Amino acid sequence: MNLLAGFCLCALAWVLLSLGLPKHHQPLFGRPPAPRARRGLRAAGWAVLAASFAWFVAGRGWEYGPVFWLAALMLAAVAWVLALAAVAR
Amino acid sequence: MKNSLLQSMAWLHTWAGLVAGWLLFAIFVGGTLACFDKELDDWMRPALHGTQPPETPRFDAAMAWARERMPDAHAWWAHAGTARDRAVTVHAAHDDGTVASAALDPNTGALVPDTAGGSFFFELHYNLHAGTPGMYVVGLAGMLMLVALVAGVLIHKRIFKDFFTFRPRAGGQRAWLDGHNFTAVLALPFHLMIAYSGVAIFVASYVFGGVQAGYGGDMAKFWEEAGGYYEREEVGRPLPRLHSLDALVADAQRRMGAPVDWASVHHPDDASAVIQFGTRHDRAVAWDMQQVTYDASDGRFLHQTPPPGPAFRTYAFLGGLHMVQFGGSALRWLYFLLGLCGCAMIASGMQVWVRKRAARVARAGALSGHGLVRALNVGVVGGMPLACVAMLWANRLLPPGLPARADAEVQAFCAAWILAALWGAWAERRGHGWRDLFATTAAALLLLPVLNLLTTAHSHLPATLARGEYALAAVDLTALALGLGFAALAWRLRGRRMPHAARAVEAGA
Repeated sequence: MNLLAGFCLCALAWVLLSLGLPKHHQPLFGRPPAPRARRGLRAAGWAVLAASFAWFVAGRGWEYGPVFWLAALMLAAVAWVLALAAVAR
Repeated sequence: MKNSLLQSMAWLHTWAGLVAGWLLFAIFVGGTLACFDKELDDWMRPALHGTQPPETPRFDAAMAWARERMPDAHAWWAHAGTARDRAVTVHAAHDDGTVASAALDPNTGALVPDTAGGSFFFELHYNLHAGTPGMYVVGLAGMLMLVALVAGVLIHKRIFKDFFTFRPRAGGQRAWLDGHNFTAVLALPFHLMIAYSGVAIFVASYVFGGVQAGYGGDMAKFWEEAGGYYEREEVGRPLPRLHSLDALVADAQRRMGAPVDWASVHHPDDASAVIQFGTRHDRAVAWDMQQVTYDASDGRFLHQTPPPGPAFRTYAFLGGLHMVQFGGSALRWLYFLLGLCGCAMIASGMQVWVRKRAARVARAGALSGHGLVRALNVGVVGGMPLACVAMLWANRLLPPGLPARADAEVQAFCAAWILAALWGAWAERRGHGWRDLFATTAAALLLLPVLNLLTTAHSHLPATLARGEYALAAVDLTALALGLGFAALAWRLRGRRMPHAARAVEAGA
């Protein structure tokens, strides 16, 4: 459960960060993000990224936490890119 | 200047990647499967399914087998039956390198049919089953991978712009390059860590100048001092009788403050013989390399390794990070999936090489290495997964009483790979080598649970799920999932009959 929640946090961070880019905002919403939305998405993305790190370290300590976090972060990015490619059809 | 640096890095990335690529793919497939080497070992020993290993491990039956088989061995070594891998495995090794091995029921001590098991993939991924020379070859491949990774980052001009980009429908070289880039970039920390720590595990062997200078090349002495292990000289008198190992396990666990995982007897035919116990590596990132030593004749406690110094702990941390015995099955799954990303990165990279040159080679119409690379790609990338599944099939189909059963499984693996490579290379001449191999692999994977149902009484999915042996069930379920993946790949390749090169020419004409 802990791992799944952490993975979702990581995925959310990538979703927000990618939507802050016109290239990935366009196919999903039909237009590039407005400048304010763009800044907001990016700031939120970085904030969730930091929160996901804190989540894993709080749940699994300083020795295991960063290892689990990085592994989940990488796989969440791969999963989101595959999802983006599927959505872009 | 910048231009020439980029060009030389591109050259380095291309050729380091191509030369080491097939080897790295085999190493990555082996290593990815080795995330679950113990679970595969267990899956491949149906005789023990449904049983529970004893709470306190027992070794006396294993050592009795070793004494019968090889009384004058250099050492006997036995691994306890655990929840992950129930069999007690025992090895006896001569000074000349000959090894005898067996697997025993952890409760009764009776022999169970042997198997090459998941350990086969583990050993394949660090020495290709070729001993010390194989270890050096793998080390070289690992170093070339580090070179290719660093050069790859340098030449990737759109590393941030294309961070989330994958256009599978763009077709051709574009799609393969996207696939190569995103599996490489998004999992880059993993690729760097696994290549670096993999090489670091054997660093004392790869850069042997250090051991040459400090220990006159005596590798055993180096490890003995680095790890604080105990060793004593042979005295040339026979050992009167071997003390019971089982009687010492409780004391060893108390002294180590950790469960006993393995036991060994060194020079068991000499009065200087010692019994040693060690533990598992699942309680911290770094390996727990401590050992306790007892006199083999009277069971007297002799020695316990001191806590490791910072240098050895650093080494044990890097090794532990690579071998992922900590963090439970959750982290092993994450490593497994990241390993699959690595396989995809290597395979797609080599497809980029082929696609990039296809049109040029076809126009030139000359005999070249291009066809060889294409054939090797099909043979290695398309053939190895099929060989791995063939080994699981052999495990279930070979008769339990067959002598040298583990060797027969390995032969099935090798034969399947050779046949698959030849078939794939032949069929690829007409452009459907990939489709044929992927479709066959998909069928073999999807039918594995069916085979399991037909050939075993207690090891098939309904039985393992009912008993709650989820690690066993996960092997069948993963086979189904991977089978669907290969089926999807084969489906995408349907109807392609012309070789890539010919199509590229037509498209260009």
